[in-house]
Parts: sequence; C-alpha cells; structure tokens
Amino acid sequence: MIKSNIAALAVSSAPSFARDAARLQLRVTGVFETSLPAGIGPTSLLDAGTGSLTVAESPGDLVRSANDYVRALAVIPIDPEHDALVDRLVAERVVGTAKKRSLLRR
Amino acid sequence: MPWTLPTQPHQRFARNPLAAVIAQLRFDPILKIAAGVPDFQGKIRSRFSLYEERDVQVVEVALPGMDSVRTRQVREHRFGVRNEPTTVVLGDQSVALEYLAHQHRDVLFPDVALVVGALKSSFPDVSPTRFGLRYVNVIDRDRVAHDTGKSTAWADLLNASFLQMPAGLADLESTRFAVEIASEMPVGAMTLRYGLLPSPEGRLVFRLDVDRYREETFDVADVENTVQTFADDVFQVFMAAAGERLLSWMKGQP
Repeated sequence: MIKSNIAALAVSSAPSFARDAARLQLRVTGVFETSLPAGIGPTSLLDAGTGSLTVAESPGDLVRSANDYVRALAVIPIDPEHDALVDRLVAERVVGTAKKRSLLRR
Repeated sequence: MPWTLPTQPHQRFARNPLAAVIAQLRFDPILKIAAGVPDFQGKIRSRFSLYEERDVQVVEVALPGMDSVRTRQVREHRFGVRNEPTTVVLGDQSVALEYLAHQHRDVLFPDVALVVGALKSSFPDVSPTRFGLRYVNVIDRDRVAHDTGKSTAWADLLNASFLQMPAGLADLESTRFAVEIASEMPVGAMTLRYGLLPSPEGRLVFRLDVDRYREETFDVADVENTVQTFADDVFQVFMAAAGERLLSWMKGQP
C-alpha cells in the first residue's frame, strides 16, 4: 500500500567525519520514502522538500540558504515553535559575527 | 502487479552516474539503542572502523490537510569507512547504509548482511516496519560529452519516453520538470522519480531516483534476500531508462 506523506525536518550541527564536517545540517525525511543522505536533494520541483541540505559555514551563506530552504518547505506551517528553532540555529552560528534577525519575519 | 519490469541480465559497468545508494531498515523504537551500540560496533568494526555520535533535533510535521507537529531528540550513531564515503547510521528507529560512491552490488550485499546481522545480534527483538533500497542517479550531459568527446543531447542518453513533454508543449533545453510514479509490486512497492532538475551548480542534470521498498510485516532475517530482489528491480528500471550513449559511457567506451 502506498502510504501518505509525513515529512520530518531534522536539524543537526554536530561535527562529522564525513565531508560535511563542521557544517550545519538541515535534513528533511519523509516517512513515505527511503531517507536521503546529507547533501543529496530531492528529485522534485514543487513537492515537499524532502532530502538534505548542508549549509555553508559563512553567516551570509547560512542565512541565504536557510531562507531558501524554509521557503521551499511551504508545507511546513509557520508557527512560533519553528520560528524559535530557526532563530536559535541562526543565532548559534552568527553570534559574534553578525546581528541576529528572524528569518521568518524578514 | 502494476509495475511491469523487463528482465535484462545484470551487468557490471566500469563507471556509473550514481550520486547515492541507500539501504534503510526502519523498526519500532528501541529505547535502549545506546546500550547496544558497543556490541553493534564490535560486529561491524572490521569494515566500518570510524565512529561518531550526532544529536539531531527532529521536527515531524504533516502535509496540508493534516495539522500535527511533533518534535523529538535523536542521537545518531554513525560508523564510517576510512577513505570511502560509506556510512552506517544507527538511530533508535532505523539503521541505514549510505553510499556516496557506490561501485557495485558485490559490496552492497555483504555490507547489508553485515549490518543486519549485527542488528539482529545486538537487538534480538528488533521489529522491522519498513525496508527500502534507493538509487539516486544524476546524469550529467556535460560530463558525458566531455568524457566521450562527442556532442551529446539528452535523447542520446535516455529513452525518449523519459524525456517526453506532454503534447510537445516545451523543449528540453530550458525546461525543468519532475515526474513521480508510485505503484505496487508483488512484495512492497516502488516509487520512480525522474526529471531535469538543477544541480547545486545550477546546471540542468537528469535525475533518475528509484525507491524500492516494503512496509508490510516481515522478518528482519528476510532483508538479506530482499535487498537482492530489490536491487534487481532497480536495475531493470535503470536499463529501461538508459540510452545507448549513456551505456557506452558507463562501459568506459569513447
């Protein structure tokens, strides 16, 4: 039976022995599909953004990439919990190097 | 049986367009997963000698029409191979083998047997819920043209039916498209996704993404046989899509 779609957004910033070492990872996994590794995007143009994205270390790149990513995930309802999560991740990365600003309230 | 696959004999190629191959077994939550990790590692360390932990925050959200949001913390245990982009990822609800430079199934099958054997031994009561084998091909026209020294069109690389625009409404030179086909098999199901999509560098590449899986109740001991059947099915889909120029390139021919 073909299952309905439930997506999962996974976020990790831990170091890695792989090529994504010392980078922030944003990962979306659908329970309806075999999960993709970090760095492999979805085979999709407009559907739910399942897959992975490794975001560059540079704060400017990080904000731009994260903003694109959140915009792509239009299926995710924007609620305070998500807003706080993204803000916290950005703050962790840009603290001391740039002024923090909410991605979702731009 | 909605999918009708050809039955070509398996071939091994000198090179392939695979960006990733993933074999993933999901199971009901095991809360004591961390306690079994040392034993699990001992059983796979001969092949996967590297190790790291990764804390992941998961936010599970529903698609339109559903309204639940759930968050949870997951600790992933990752086992790697030195000088090879191959990783085993063990969590409390899944174990996955990820290849970012897949060579051939003679590596995949023993790895799956090793990992599943370790899982069964370290967590005897594991209760599987899903097994999936996914091959993601990224066919780069420019790379084939460079390697072969021949001007290459998409029609040289792929079966025409995989490139067809409905009613000829668009050409292939400046068009992005993606198709998803999901249907059942005698055991489990298969989802095929393909299309012309932008690469991270912004160039158009053709992605052929085959996800073969089963979700009904099954014994974890079946996985070793299942992965071989699924790999055969994925191969048939690839061969149905591949054009002559792509196959020549894969054989290392000019």
